[in-house]
Amino acid sequence: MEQSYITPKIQSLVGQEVTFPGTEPVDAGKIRRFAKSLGLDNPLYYGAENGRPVAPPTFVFSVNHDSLGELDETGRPAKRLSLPPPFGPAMRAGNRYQFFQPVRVGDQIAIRRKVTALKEKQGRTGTLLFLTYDVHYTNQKDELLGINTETLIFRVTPDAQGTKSQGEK
Amino acid sequence: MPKEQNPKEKNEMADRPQWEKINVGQEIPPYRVPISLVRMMMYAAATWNPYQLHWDSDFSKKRGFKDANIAGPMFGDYLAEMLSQWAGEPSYLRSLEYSNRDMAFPGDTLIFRGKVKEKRREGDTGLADCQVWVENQQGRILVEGSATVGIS
Repeated sequence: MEQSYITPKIQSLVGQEVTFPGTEPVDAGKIRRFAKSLGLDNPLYYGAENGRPVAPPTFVFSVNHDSLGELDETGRPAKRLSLPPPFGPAMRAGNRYQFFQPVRVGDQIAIRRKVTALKEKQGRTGTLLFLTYDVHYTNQKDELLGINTETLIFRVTPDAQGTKSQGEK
Repeated sequence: MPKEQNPKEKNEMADRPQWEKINVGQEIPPYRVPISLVRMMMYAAATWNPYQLHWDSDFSKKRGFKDANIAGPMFGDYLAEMLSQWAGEPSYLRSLEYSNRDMAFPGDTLIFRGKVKEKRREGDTGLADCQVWVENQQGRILVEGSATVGIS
């Protein structure tokens, strides 16, 4: 029987829920800058008709809605999900987006993140931990905008900075 | 290959796929994007995600990478755009799932692709289940996934 790296403390992450009310309502500029940074050309995203842009479907998931959140010295959110050594930094394994309605100007986006699963696997390069959580995004009317189910991979590594590869291949 | 039988009937709806005309195995028009460091930096700013790995070449090279890495969500953004353009309306997109297989760097041209795997009905709405993926200019698969698009 191999040793499990899932300590009771790590296991207790499952079921944990964090909520966050968006810092401020979404303005037209935030939507336009997102669309423009990607080079998208759909006039909807720029509000060509009525000056009120409608966000691209992934805006809700890709944008960090915490304008005032603390960052570490490399620019990562200080509050991100991380695991103690011997786990290295998180790598994104995959995402599942469910789209319910697009973000519009004036939406106050609230976030609820809940850890749903923790799985240990033996990869080619050693032990991997898969952490999955659901992030629900709602607006000021408590309408569901989207759900992002995200899985992170943590590698057990003596050299946390040396990991290059993105997960199991 | 031109698909329009009668160009006179072409209107703003003409590019939208129609349920009857969608075939399993049909390819979704690919969406190509050359990725520059400027775009990566703009994206980091616009999404308010300033992690240096995604726009700072020196920082990334010091950590053993070839260059700055394209941020993961960007793959999802462009896959959604490819599907939205095909469906004709971003709101027709129901779900999108994707897994990262390999990295992308400034100077790469990304090709977002997909094809129809299945057609089904949910009440009055037609749904197309699609396989989606991302290649780089060398044909290397960077991302694999699936999506469901509503087609009326």
